[in-house]
Amino acid sequence: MASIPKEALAEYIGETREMCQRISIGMGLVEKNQHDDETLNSIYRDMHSIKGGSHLFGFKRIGQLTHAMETALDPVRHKEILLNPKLVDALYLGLDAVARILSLIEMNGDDSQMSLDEIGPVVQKIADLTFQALNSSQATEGKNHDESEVLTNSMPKLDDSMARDELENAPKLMGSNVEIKINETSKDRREQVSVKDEFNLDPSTVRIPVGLLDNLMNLVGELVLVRNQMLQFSQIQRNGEFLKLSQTLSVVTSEIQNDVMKTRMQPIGPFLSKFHRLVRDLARDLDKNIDFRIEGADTELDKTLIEAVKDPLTHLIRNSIDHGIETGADRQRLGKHPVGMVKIKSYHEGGHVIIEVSDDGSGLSPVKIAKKAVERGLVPSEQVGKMSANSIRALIFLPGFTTAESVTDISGRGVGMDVVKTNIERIGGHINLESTVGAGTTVRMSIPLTMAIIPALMVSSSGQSYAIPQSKVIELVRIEDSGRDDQRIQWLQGQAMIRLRGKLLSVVGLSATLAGRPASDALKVTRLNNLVILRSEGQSFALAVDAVLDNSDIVVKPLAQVVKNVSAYSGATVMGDGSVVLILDVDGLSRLSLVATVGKPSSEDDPNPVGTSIKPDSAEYLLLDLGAPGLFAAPLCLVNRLEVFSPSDVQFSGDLPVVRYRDTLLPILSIAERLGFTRFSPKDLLGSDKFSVIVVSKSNRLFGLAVKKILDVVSIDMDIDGEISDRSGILGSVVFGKNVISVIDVLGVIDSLIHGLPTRLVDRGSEIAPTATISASPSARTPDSRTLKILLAEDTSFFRRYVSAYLRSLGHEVVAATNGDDAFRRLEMSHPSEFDLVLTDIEMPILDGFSLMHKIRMRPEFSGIPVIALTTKFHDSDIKKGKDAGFSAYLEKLNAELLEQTIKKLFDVKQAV
Amino acid sequence: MQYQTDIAATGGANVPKILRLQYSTFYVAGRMYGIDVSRVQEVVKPIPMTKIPLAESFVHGLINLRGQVVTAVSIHELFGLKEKAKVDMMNVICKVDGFLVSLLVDEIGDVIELETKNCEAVPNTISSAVKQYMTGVYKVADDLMSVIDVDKIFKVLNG
Repeated sequence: MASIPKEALAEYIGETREMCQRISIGMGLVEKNQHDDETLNSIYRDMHSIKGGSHLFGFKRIGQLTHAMETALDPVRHKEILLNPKLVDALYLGLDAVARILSLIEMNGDDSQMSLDEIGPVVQKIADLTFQALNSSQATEGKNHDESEVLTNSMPKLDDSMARDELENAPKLMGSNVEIKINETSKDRREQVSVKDEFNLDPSTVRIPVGLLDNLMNLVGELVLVRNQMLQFSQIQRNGEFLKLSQTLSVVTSEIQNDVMKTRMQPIGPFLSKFHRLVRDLARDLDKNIDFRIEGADTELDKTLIEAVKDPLTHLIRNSIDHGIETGADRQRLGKHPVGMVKIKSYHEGGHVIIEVSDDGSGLSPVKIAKKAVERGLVPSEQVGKMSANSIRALIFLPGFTTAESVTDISGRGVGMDVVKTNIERIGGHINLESTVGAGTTVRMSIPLTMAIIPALMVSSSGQSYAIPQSKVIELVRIEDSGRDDQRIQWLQGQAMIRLRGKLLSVVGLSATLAGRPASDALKVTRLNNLVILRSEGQSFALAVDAVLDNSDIVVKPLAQVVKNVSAYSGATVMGDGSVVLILDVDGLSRLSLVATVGKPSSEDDPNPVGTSIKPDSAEYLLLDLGAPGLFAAPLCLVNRLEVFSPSDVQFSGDLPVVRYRDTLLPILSIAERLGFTRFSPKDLLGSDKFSVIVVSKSNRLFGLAVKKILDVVSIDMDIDGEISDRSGILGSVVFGKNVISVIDVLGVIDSLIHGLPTRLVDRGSEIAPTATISASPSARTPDSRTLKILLAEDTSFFRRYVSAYLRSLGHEVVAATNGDDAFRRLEMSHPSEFDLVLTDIEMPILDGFSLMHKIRMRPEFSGIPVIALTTKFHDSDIKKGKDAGFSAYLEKLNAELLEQTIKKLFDVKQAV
Repeated sequence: MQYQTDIAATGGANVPKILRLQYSTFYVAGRMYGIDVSRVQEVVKPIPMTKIPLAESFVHGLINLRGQVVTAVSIHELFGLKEKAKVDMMNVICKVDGFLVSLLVDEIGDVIELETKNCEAVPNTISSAVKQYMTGVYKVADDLMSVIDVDKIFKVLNG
């Protein structure tokens, strides 16, 4: 027993003493009033707790004593006899013995010095007294006699030889103030017990009923509210003295609040230490070797919360040992350390206490979970295929799910992780799970420090304020209705979405949801600006609110069940101005708006990058009003930023209008002018109030393209028709609804500025100043160039479509791949001479252009295939790097003529060789 | 329920002399209702209310009663009365098991004392929407007073 941590032991002793005292007081009460069932049951419960605690720590002797006492009390509890003095004597005997053992434990850390010889007579005496009490009671049925026999038999049998052994080693307890003679009257003993308790209490601490603390906590909550109201009032008053006083009051109130909160805080260590025993026993029962570690034992947590995490934690540890950790033999076979590791780690993070239970066991297999979930009918099988490993693992939190292949005694008795989850969520926490097959599982519980006062974000919707617990808020996002594609609402299957740093989040309109309309409703009409990104059951979503107000510490007040049933609210609170505000239940809202079915898990390790899995296979265009007839569009993938400048921002560098922009000068070009609509020069623009500028990066420089108005971003699922183009600077046309939109050759327009050339060229095929470095020497055009089979690797769908369409228009055959890896696989599957040319983008997910080049060059059978890089990355060092990597040419994207020429040159040279 | 309360209040004797109960009366849509006065904590003038979107129609909102959040129940809606409720309603605040509820009524009447033996059973013809909350009917002066069981309303709220 030497391994029991000190603090756990001290807590155990303290608790047991408290319970002994309660039993002693209780017995006095029951003696006076035999019908006090409440007290009798409380005595019984305490005895049972003492018994349980003692067994947990392995103090057999106390266990035996309390068992005997429990047995003695049984007939009283079952109303067979009344509590008579003999029984009370018996119980006090037991209590005294327990007290003595406790003192021994306190001194030595174990109970081995209390010989069983001393316990034996006490236990026997209790049994005898119980027997006598039963017989002397008025009950006359023979059944009573039988029962007392059973009783005596059920008393623990003591092993004499073992007792004698210990007697030899046990130093006698001489002159100890805890020594109590068995024959003393119960009254004296009772006094002695209480005296002893006082004697052993740490004088610097006071035991206070939790109820009193709860009450204090509530009062402090009210105090905070009054303080808030007073502060608001003092600001209106404009009375200096009053303001000063109320501010002092505010400071004092905050301090009281902090300290009262602290009174309920306890280090989690002693509580966690209790699990040592559990782990040891489980490990023995299951024949597993386990190293149990506790980290962060001094992390403090509200006492009620500690109680609340007890069951979930027990369950998780059982799970880890039962299902997680493999047997020693299995571990050795797998090359793992034969001793499995189970760890509880607790720490503070962002106003929460995190408790992690991790093991280095077999991990959770998504395949098995998916199979089980489908078997149990928890999810349809076709849905499982589309889920990420993490969302599949999250299925174990569904009710009715048990992972154990066979239900064992230890865990998996029908109550599963769903109960754990519900328990944690009930106290305002959340739980998530990470697991690697073969390497282990970590379950992370995030628990608020206290439940009484929570920080909240105040928002408004339809003229009413709502509070959102800060623990659920990830961030606030403000979006403009006409922004880049990652800054505006997009629509996916009728559901509003926002793309936030590469993740697709459902947008839920608070007003619409609370009005019982579909979550995306009204987003179409309202210009929506404020999004609160919320964390909900493993998913994130964006809540669109009318306004974000401020942060506030709120006291949670319960709601009537009928309001809770709405599931959108978790409580209510009274604000500083006296108004009642509903607290939103984020998980409930998410369920209400059915985000769960549409949204994507927010897990960091989602294997599918957004670009490939979600983005519909259509290109996006920025719809522009140039002030010229017709609709124009710029491919969105080329747009760096959108800015609005006012005429006063513009300065002139010679004839060229420029704007100071991020430590550099941004040349401003009028697209309309460049396209030849002369009446629309930058100077004309300057007359208007403000003008919009599309910022485009080319050759590592930024250029500003001025337009009259940015209309919208549209998604068009159609190739550009290069034939329908009346002027240069226009790539071609696309059809959008009833409109034909001219797509602007943004890079070409910029080119024309760089080289001081008008884009208005009579012959599109004529020489354009080369901005690219071509390794093949120029040669004359051959009109009858042969048909080539070209492999195109390009992740951006606009370029993919545009380049493919253009090459096809030249009569070539094009196979398009979405990234380098995809391209290489297609190449590998092909016959070595199938492709004549590879065109690749440089920046691509999964496998970039350089790596693709490298892979191709590693394979001798593909060495004859020329590879051309098409890129917007156009720095000198990039070009050099590209040449070094072995690209035949390094071309700028969207320069179709140059591409055509380069291809021709390449193959003309080849044919010539 | 009220009857039992009354027996306890008068000392739990087996043969009560005359049972008298005080009722706090109020009017909703011109009809007179009464609640055992011991169940009423206080009556409050109209105070600002926070609406609860999506909640049942009879849950009218939440009010702040000196720092405590009280659920306000519209008697109009609960009883399915056709008459339109006024904007500013009086609050009859009742407390059960430490939980506060406000019954929104049009007008507050007097507290009257009645003999329980005069309480008559609820006629079968009363619509079930109202009947389920009624425990009896008294003839009062020239009106009829329906006795409302607050516990039943609580049960609906916290069912």
